[in-house]
Amino acid sequence: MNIVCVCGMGLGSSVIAKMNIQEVLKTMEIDASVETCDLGSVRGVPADIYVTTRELAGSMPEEYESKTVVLMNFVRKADVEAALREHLQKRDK
Amino acid sequence: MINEILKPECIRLNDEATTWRDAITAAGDLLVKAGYTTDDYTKEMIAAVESLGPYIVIAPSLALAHSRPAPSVKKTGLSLVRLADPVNFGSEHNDPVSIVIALCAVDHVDHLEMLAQLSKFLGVDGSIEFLKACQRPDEIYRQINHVE
Repeated sequence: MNIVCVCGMGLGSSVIAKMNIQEVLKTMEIDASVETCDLGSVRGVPADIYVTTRELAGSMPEEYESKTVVLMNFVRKADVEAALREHLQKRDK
Repeated sequence: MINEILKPECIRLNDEATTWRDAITAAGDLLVKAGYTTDDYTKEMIAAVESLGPYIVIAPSLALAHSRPAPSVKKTGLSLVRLADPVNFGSEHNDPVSIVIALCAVDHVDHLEMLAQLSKFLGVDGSIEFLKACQRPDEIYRQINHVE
């Protein structure tokens, strides 16, 4: 599985999200690669899941909507894990 | 053990900014004074919010102000401003903001260890409440930099 964290610059918020997602994936025992990307380049970056913030979600390409997880809190691992679990459950139904 | 990612002179408590622009400017000014950036970078951080929205408010009360690597960045670094009175950035879920951490990086790699340490600190339950309440800059310095 391939996860891409998307923020405005691909430098700050998405890097923090990536670090926390990697930690959470370890505890969930899910094997996945996690990368970062800025909003402007996201069309050229294929992924199974995109993670972004509420403010940027509306600017994501429409075709990614079903693959996008929206996080309100990038630093709290419990929130990150809950959002990922919910998405995976929905997706794998 | 100490691993200094945030210098003492880059911490400012009880700043009296009343708008999100002033709050980012206060954090940007610390970066300029510490020799990390020029004033242009502060303007770039503000422009990022103007064009992309308040997505830098990554947790309740906390904004991670930043722009991208640019000529205005001389060295990779961080600053932290705590506001006397929280201000709104326009974030639906995480306003109002009390803590502004400004980040500048010379490229997409140099800041990763620094951010890993910051992220680890912020990931501990209660860390944001600590930053909101602590009255001693030296105590914030010790916590973020892991001084024993």
